Amino acid sequence: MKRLFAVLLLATCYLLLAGKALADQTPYLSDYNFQLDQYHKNYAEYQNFKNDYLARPTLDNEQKAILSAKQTISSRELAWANFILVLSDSISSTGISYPLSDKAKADLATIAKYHFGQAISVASVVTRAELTTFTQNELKVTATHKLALSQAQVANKLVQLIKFQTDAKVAYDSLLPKLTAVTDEVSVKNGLDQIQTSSIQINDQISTLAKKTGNLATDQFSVDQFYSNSSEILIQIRASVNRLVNIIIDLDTNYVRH
Amino acid sequence: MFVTKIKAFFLNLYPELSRFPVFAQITTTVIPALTPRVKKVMRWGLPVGTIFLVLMLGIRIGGILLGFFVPKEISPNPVEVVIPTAASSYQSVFLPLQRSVSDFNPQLPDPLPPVFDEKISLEPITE
Repeated sequence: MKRLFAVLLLATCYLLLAGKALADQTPYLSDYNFQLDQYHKNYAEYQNFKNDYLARPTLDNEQKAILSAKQTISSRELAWANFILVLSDSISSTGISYPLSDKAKADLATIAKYHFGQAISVASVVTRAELTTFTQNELKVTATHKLALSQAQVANKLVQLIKFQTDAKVAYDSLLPKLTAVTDEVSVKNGLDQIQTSSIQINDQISTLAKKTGNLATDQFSVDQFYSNSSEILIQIRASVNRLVNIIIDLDTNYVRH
Repeated sequence: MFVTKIKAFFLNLYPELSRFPVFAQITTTVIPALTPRVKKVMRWGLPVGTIFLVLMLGIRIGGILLGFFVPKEISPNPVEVVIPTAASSYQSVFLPLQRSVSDFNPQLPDPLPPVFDEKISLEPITE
């Protein structure tokens, strides 16, 4: 009886903890992974049906290939939509409101809506010509999404850094009253000055990257180059935030009475 | 007179001294009467006492002389002792923030976009 009770207790704990761990993840991630899996399965089938059709272009083979292509497109569109929601959720989860991130969230919502719509509208495709037209239209529209997606990627990183900066500001505000007894000490003065300087520097770096990202135009846009340049700036901002947090920790550890 | 008395006293204690002319002259002088017991004690006690006295005096004089030649006190240089800085056991409450900043991935794109075939159709693939 005791053993049964212990097993039940352990099972309850496991379920509670597993439930919490799953709840911590973004709800769209599991949908995205599922749809990605579906796409890979459907795509392998579609390639087989298409090869059969191209080898023996019968009406039956054409219908099978079109049906398979529609299923693949549907799962692809749903995977895209869920990926975009994962990205959007990552931006929203920080709780930071910033012009670039607000625009990114709006753009992502529009793009996700488009892909969800495409997943449904592909069902109306009947002929080979309609499938070709559908794909050509899709290519035109998704080309316009690339810029917004790249901007959203940067916005996602920027809001995380802004969140760190906000947390650092909260830490600084809680620390300042505890330092009143030692504010005359040279090292404390230097530390507080460096905090001010670093904050201004981080603000400048963030607004420069945000401006650069927001001003991007489709015609002068190279995704790889843009990501590479933006990553370099993000590394610099991270270093600045790291320095700021280190000063706060140093002041807290060495100059505040605990 | 006093010297003669002393000489006579010693001669009485040590008859062997009569061989020396200085003592031979006073053989006739009055020799103080000493009982044989006292005479024996003094005969042996006097040299022993003298030796003891000389030793004590010598040690004493040696001690006094030693006081004049006390070597300088040599003290070794202080050994350098590295005192480790007292490690503070306090862990800042802001350390999780520091860890989050360090764990931040600045590489783009993140999350990595999926790679899809965007040209799904039944048209033959053309290079």
